[in-house]
Amino acid sequence: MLHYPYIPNSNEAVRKEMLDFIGAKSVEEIYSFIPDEVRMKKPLNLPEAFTSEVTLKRHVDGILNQDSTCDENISFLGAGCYNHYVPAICDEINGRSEFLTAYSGDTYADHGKLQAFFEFTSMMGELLNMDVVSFPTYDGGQAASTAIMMSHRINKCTTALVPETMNPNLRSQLDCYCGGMKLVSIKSRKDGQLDLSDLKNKLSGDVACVFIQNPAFLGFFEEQCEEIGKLAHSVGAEYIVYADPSSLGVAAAPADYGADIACGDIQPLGIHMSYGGGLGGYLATRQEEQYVMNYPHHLYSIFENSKGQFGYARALPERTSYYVREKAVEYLGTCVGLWAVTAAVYLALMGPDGMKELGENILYKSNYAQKKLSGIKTITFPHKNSHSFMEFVVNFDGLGKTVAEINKELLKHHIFGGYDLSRQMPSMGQSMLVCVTEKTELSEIDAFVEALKKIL
Amino acid sequence: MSDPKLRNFHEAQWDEPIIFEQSVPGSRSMLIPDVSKEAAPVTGEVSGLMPESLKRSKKPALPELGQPQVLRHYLRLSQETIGQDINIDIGLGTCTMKYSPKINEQFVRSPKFAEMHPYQDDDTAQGILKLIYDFEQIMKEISGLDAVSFQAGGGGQGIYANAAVLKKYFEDRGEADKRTQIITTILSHPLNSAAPATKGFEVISLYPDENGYPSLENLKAVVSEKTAGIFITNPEDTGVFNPIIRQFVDVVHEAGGLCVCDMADYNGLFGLVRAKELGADMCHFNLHKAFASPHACMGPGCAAQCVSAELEKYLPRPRVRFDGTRYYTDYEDRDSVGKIRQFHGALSAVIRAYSWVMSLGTEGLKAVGETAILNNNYMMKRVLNEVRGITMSWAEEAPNRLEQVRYSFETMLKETGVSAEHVNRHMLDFGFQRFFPSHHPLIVPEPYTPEPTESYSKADIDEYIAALKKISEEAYSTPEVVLTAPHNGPISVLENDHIETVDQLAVTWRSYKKQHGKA
Amino acid sequence: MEKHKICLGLIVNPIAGMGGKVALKGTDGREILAAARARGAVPEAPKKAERALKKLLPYAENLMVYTASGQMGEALCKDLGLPCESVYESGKETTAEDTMRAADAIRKFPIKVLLFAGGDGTARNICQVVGETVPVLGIPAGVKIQSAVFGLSPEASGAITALIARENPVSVSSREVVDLNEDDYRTGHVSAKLYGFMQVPYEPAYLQTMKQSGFSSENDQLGGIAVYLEEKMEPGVYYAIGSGSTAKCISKRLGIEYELLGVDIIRDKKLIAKDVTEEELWNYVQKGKLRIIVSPIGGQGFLFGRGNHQFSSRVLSAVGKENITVIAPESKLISISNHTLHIDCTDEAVNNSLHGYINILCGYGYFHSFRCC
Repeated sequence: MLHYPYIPNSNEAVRKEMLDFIGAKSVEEIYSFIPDEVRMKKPLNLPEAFTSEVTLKRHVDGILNQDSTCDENISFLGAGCYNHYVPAICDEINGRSEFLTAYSGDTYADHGKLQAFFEFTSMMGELLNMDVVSFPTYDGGQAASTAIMMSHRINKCTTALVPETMNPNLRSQLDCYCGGMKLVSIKSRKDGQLDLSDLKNKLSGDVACVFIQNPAFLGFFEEQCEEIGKLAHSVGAEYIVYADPSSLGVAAAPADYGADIACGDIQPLGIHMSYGGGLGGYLATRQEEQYVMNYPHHLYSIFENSKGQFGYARALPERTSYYVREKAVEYLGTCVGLWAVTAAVYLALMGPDGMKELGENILYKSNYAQKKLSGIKTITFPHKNSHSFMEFVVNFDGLGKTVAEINKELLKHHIFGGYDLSRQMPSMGQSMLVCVTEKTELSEIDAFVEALKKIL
Repeated sequence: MSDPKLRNFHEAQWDEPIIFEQSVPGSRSMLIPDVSKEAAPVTGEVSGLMPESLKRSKKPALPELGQPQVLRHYLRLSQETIGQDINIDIGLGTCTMKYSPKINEQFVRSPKFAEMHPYQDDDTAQGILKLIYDFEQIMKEISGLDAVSFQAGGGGQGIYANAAVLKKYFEDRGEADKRTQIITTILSHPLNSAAPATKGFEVISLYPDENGYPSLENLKAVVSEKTAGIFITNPEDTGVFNPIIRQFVDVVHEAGGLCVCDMADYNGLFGLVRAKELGADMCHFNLHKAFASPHACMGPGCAAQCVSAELEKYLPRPRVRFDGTRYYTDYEDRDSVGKIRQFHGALSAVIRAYSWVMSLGTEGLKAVGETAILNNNYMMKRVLNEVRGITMSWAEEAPNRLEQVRYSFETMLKETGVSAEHVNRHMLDFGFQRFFPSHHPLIVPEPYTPEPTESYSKADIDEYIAALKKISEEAYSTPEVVLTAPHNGPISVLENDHIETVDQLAVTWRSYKKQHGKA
Repeated sequence: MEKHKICLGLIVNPIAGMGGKVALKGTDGREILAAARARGAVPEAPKKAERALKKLLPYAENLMVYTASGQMGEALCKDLGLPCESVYESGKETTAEDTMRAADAIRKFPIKVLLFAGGDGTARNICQVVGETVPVLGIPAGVKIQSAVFGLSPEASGAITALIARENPVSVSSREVVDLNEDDYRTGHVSAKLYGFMQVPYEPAYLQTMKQSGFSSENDQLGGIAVYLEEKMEPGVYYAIGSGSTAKCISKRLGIEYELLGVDIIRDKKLIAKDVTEEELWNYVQKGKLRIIVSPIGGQGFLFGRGNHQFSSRVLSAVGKENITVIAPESKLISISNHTLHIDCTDEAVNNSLHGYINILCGYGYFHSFRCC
């Protein structure tokens, strides 16, 4: 047998000793109970292995080095995955072997992990002004899906009202997950704000929830958020707000304008984009039985022992599918624990002032970008009468070039233009969703404007 | 055989306060550039950029600390956590705690991957797209099936994704109203019932008979024209392989249902058995288990969802295609179940799994499976012979096991009053992470499910067994030592870790303070 | 100030279990007891109680055991050094009456749990007096252990009590008290009756079952079962609802009256008859289509033939397996040993017709397939 560095017992002498102890001549003899009919008839046909780390590294680096990243270009991409700055300490901590390779250990062996989880939910609770925050789920879309199903379980109604301009990927996820629910789109006004008269028309006794994103997918703040909540409550519906946590240093918490359930993605909180892999969903509510018992997730509660030490344990585990299998409200599996630790580190680093400065920095830049771009007379800003946070829509209709073509040309200037909305939202025409973050330099915005001028 | 010396271990006990308790108002650890000087002349003051109705009136009450203090705090918490890297993590069976090669961390932490946006032009992402595409080819070969999606972010989501494909398949055939039932086994992971239930299926759970797996007669008694499919793990968490799996699959197929295999317990089967030979139409592999991506405090993980050609069109979108010269993202989703997770999924697990497979190749994977089986059967024989109070169900019917075993401490409990949970807590005192007892319901009483994967040396296994023996001796001689464990953990016994009502829940510091009059 | 003490109750039925080893199937009644003694039987229960109580010794100084005199508990506590107080004086030959009087005296103290060593007869006597007013836990010491109120072994009962002694929170669940008629049992003819319910403390490690919170998910599961049953109810069909709180979940859901310990008839979601006899039930079977909704007894898993004699052989034979819906929440499922249901009717042919596999409804559309033999 060859030597495999990851397999310490790939050592003939040791194997023989173990087999002798077992009383078997070969490992094959041990698994002789596996019938022939299910065994492979010939060996796997896999590419030749790079058995030494030296060649393996060269091989994998060779593949990844073909890519050109947002660090090597100027990126204006957002649309659900954001190029925020990741503080060095976030990587330092989530790269620690203890956290990186821990799994489901609990109260004692993984006390530190549970304290970090508790601090994550606690700091999210402060950001959201809510008392219950769950262990994070796969991504914001999953959190939104559960929020909607939660509302259905609370009031048994089957209609969910969602903005027609919500994130189409999120919508696709909701369509897949919220079986038995009717998802009805609420129209938007020209400036992007929700059309309240359409909302009123669609409110009925069967509405389980009204769901909004704030800031909206298309980047602007939904300013009627308080009124939307009142309308939802007028028919006994739950009010769900999907909020970007990076906005909450400057923007009001959803609970402050009436949200019953808050959800969203924690990727902005110190987690790299990783080609869309860095997502994680949060879900938060008030501390009431109707909400708490409808969480499918782990809830780590704090306890104090007789020595005055704090400890943590999964509370009300009988809710979860780990305990009652199919009888749980929804399934629960391995999600994104490491991102809970990372987001905790991020929020602890940022503090209240950091979150405020972050929001202000972004506000300045998105408005700066719009002002600068508005110098190009031929392009339009459909939502210019609304306030944008980090993203805004630029429309290129009537210029004879598609967004795809424009982005191809921008690429020659090492610029990743905004997200091309024409694939998923054809009614928006040739529009791109431009995103700036605290990582975007004002000079980079200027370069973007100059490049566009040349292209158009 | 003489046992190795046990460690005089004590986990770090920093007595670390909650981060809020360490807050010093006015302290800062991250500053964000102030751009007002350059931007404000263009935009006006920031106060004018937010709608009044949405301005935050009160700053969030986050803790305020200096950067060294934040770093130190979380480093201390990390030291109060026992990852696979620093212990002989044999205990957490069904989780396949194996070594996650460090070289793979370099790949996923490199800016060449970490700073990629999912909507970048495909021309700027040929590397990652190629890797996804190539790994799909590898997983097709390993599963024997025809198409693969990596969108699901964990085993549960993988099962859910398979349930979604199953549903869509019957919807397309106009049979969704009729095919409403899923069959699974009670010893399969709970998600095999919970995820299809979430998708709206009824669920029938089968129990093991005297052989350790459900009887064919039982399966035949429950299949009907309502059967949409069977979700099955083989081997189940007991390490018992169901040798009549083909007949199971045939019975379900004859009834018009599909067969979905959960490969969560696959580690012993590398190079030996594939989903195809089992007759499965779909399966999923946990890349964070058998494929060596780290478990990461419970995620992000990734499930490789593998399906037959007939079901390929239902896979979540986007998919990665290759036109002979260029890799590209295919968003076309007419027949697809839609999105299970945003974008391509948690690709860090895909990169690590790719690198892991490429480091092993065909023979290496076979060595993984065989070593997992060897380690487990070596451990099993020693445990059953040498550790008093432990037994194994179906010991006569299935004397050899694959990669893991479900043991029972029932005898010890009856004879000493020391339960599996007490033993579990005491393992920590010798430097071991807690063990996995069992999924629910507890078919095997006082359960204990270790899994000595290929990452552990014989010496590792011997040390682990020495601890088990020591604890067993204590249970029979000085049970109070075991009953009051752990003794050397970060905190002493939490006497009350159970709440009765929602009022007592405190998952946030603010909630805790309210309940204790500190708010 | 004296430290606050944990109070427990203890009743030992010294004669319980004496019949077992001499093949007398129980010791209910003086003559049988005399016969047992004649065959050489010696008291078993105090020994079993001792095995359980030994688990409490590490906590002895925090405990106060309220018990009855002499062999009914006091002697044992004193031997072991457990602080105790006898609050009931029994005669030399203890009787069922003594068990009941002792239980009544002990329950007036602030006890966390009433431990008793005995069998089904003892459980039944205690249930008659305390019902569900205080938690009760049996130390298995009798010949008949059909009721779901006993620990797995004397040590297991002791270990659960030790948790209580350590002030660990322990959940309680309502469990069946069942007893066979010993006269019939001895002649090979079995008739069992459901006598009521008691609150039984349990902990997963010791009763192999699930922890349930105060506002348990068990209620949610019963709710799910009831909704599913209601949706599937057919018009014009009689539904015979078996005894026990699980089966009656449908009655509760429909908001109709029920007899907890008896069989009720429902049709078109209305109560037709309450607490019917076998004869009355048989009449409904003959009148029209009838379905049975029944829940097995926790622990032993008897579906028919224990505690619900109304479902007689002729009734079951006429109704048929396809018209029997079996329901149980998760905690009860897991309590059933070997996940096997049993049927014990007088007619072997009927027993056989129900053997095989039965899908137990345990939530909304969720079934566990149990063997039945």
